Amino acid sequence: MSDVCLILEGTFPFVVGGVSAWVYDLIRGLPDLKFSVIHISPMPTTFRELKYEFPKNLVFFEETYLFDYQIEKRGSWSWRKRRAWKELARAYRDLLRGRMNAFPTLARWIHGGIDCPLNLHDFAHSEPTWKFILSQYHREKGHPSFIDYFWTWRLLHLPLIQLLRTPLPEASVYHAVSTGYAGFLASIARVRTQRPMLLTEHGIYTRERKMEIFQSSWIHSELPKSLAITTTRDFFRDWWIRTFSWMSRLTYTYADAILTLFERNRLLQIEEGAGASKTRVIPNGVVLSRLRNIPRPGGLHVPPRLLFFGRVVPIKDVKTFVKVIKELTVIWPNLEARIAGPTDEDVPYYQECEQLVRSLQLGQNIRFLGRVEAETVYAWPDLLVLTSISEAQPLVILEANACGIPVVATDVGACRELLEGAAPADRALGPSGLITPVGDVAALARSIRTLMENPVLYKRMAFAGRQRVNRSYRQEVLLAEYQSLYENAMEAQPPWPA
Amino acid sequence: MAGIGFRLRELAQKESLWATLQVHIYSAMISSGPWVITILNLFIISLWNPGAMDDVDRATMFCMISYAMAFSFVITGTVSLAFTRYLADQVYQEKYEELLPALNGFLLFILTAASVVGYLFVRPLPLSAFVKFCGLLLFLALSCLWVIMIYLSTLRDYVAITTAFALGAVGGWALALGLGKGGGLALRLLGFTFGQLVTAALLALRLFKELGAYTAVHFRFLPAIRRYSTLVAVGILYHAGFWVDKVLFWRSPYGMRISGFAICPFYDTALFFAQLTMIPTITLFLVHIETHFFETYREYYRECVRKLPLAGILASKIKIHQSLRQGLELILKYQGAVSLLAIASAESLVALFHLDPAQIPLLRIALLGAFVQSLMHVILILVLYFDLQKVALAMTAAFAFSNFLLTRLTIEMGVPAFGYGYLGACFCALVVGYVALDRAVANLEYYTFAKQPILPVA
Repeated sequence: MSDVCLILEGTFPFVVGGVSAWVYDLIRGLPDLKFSVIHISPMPTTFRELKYEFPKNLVFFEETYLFDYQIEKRGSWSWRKRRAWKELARAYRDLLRGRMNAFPTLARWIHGGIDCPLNLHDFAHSEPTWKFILSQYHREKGHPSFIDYFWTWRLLHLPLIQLLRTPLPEASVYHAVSTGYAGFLASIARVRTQRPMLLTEHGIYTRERKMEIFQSSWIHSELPKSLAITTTRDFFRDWWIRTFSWMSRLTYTYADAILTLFERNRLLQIEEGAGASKTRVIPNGVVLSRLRNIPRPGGLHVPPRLLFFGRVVPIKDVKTFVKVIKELTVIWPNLEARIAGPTDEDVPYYQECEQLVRSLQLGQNIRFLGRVEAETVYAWPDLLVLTSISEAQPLVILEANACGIPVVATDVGACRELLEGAAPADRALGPSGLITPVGDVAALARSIRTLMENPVLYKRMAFAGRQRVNRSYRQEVLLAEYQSLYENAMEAQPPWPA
Repeated sequence: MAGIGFRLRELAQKESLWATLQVHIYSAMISSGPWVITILNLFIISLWNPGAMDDVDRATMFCMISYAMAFSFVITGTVSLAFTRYLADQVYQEKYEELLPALNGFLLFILTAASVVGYLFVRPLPLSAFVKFCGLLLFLALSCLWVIMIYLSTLRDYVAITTAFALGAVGGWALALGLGKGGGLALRLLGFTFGQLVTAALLALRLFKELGAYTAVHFRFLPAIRRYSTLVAVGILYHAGFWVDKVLFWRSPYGMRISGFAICPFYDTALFFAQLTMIPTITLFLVHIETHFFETYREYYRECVRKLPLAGILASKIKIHQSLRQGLELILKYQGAVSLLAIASAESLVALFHLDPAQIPLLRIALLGAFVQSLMHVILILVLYFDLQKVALAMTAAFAFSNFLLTRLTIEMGVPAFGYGYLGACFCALVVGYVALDRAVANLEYYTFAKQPILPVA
């Protein structure tokens, strides 16, 4: 029995990154609370390294898999199954129409207990399921490819059924760290245990999935392969996006509090269906005491020292950074750049980056450091450069600013808010870095030059950075806010009998 | 690895009479060849008596050939469905080099089992050791031949196959009659056995040339046999059903003991003869399946994958329906004609083949039974084509059990009821199979999609 059950998807403890670090700091920062973690992955893989050590107050850890189906032998189609099936079909149709209050019916009829009338075999192979899929197929206007329809139906629904059958650890509060499948599981917990459910979103899950879905090549496209721009909706991509969108709205409906890291995201959440009164912003935070004391040089280095701190994956757009360095070497041939961050998450991409460095002859200028501890790198650089294509609220910007390092970043996520200020009082502190368009190598190079050639501006921005982080982005504040959230939630109702 | 189907389709494309004739003769040969030859031998060698073979010897010979045939069918038939399925899996994965070593392994496996079973069976018989040895040899030779027949559809060279059968048959007869003139029973048997061995050897040679391999022999098919245990059960039940009525007659008051064999020539000869009339069905069916039906069948599965809407898939399913109906109509027509003709001329046939006139009513019923059995056989093959293993099990179980029960009943009821057990059993199995197949084809898309196992994402 734990106090807080964190429900995660694709992050801590297997992936090194902003969200994982946030989770890790949260657990460590609230040592009086007992945490449990459910981690949702697609499939069990042979061995996965734990990238983080478990804090002492993490008392329970479980993995659950979306696509690892244990399909048992079927029982006969008894009247109990028939009744369950009828109720389910009705609840399903209600849910499709947006009536989220039909969800508890779903959670009641599909569960992992022995007395559940329907099992995975029924949902995968039985005739009623087949007839149901056919009836849904015939409702669709236009006649999409049947084989794709059938398998998409399975691919979309079976993981959800799998989650409905997952046993939940007992906890006083359930806290999902994204919508999507984690949010779905959290909603199940909310409905089954009647304990409060919190949601914290770093990035907006639905939007991130939208990007991936549009880029994916394996989803069958119903559109004719022509170059013309059409407004015809692409059936299967639509279906995927609608499903994720629905999962978000479900989580928003059943969450008792919806948190996110910055205001722009909060507005996006409301746009995606979150009740405005439930939403709140609790920004990321850093531990000032550790960062403030990192020794910083008195002046700027010549040639400049530029730091890139992030995972070497396509979404961080390391290649643009490399190209920026190339442009800057025209002015500063001995420019030094370090890329700090794990290189093992997307090895082909990392190799491409290395290849790019070699072909641009930047071997003397750029070094890949691999995974490093945050505090070890901030003594070295003049500037932090962020070239990501998509971000939430990068911790590295906060850390750099806390050390007195200005930042040049692309205009994604909360970067602008962090560097230019959010509320008017925050803006009054002045900018702590420069914002450029995404992928704009020239603009990035220009901004870096501006800062490096203008020591007064640099000093002003460094100072603004420290002030901003001190005022609004301290980890102590974050931990205090979550502590009070958890305590309120734990006291909300009497605990369910064991 | 195109094999016979390819060849048949090729020939069927040509619009000449000779080509069509070739197609049918070839199909008849590879589907019924050795079995027909064996039965013909039964008649020729045992009933037509040019050499100086006395009645006891003649009867013994009849028994030995019947028993050798029965045992060899049963011992190969029980596992060959599962083994053939294993081969099909290898062909699908394009692991053609597995086929030949599997053949050798399977032969070893069967021959070992057959030797043990055969030895245990012939030991207590009151015959000379040499005769027993010849009988055993015949049993093993036939078992070999049936195993090699499994692979026959991989060969395209029907000239070679025809030669093998012809040489074996003619040679066997010649040797049997020639040797038997002076030497009597054992040598006749040997001669016949030798003929079958020649066929087996020639076919095996052709197979070895056709299929390449890296290893000489392996037993990797054994786990497959365990995996397809339903098919093993189907094999056992089918052959049990096929022989149970004859065995019941052998052990009944109407049977007799000859040299230690329990036999009932009255029943057996009528049945064997009647079953010869199944040849048209089996031939026609093989031709139709490999040409017309297979195309519609393959097209359906292709359409499923081709990103068509449901209506398109259902349209190609209708083509399967049509093809099946066409095939069955064809078989009903031709087989019906042949069977009717035979029934009508039962008396002349009995006279022609020196059978007992008292067998005429039995022969008539048996011919009708053979007609129904040929239909049942066709339905069983189709059921297996669609991989409806449980349905096949139900059919063969119905066949075996009803044959057992009904034949016992007819033995109690006396001579006028003979044959109705066999007829009834075939009919039962046919009904079970037909109803299930009809339902399965009607719901084909349900089986194609919803029954697909959900395999882990690699």
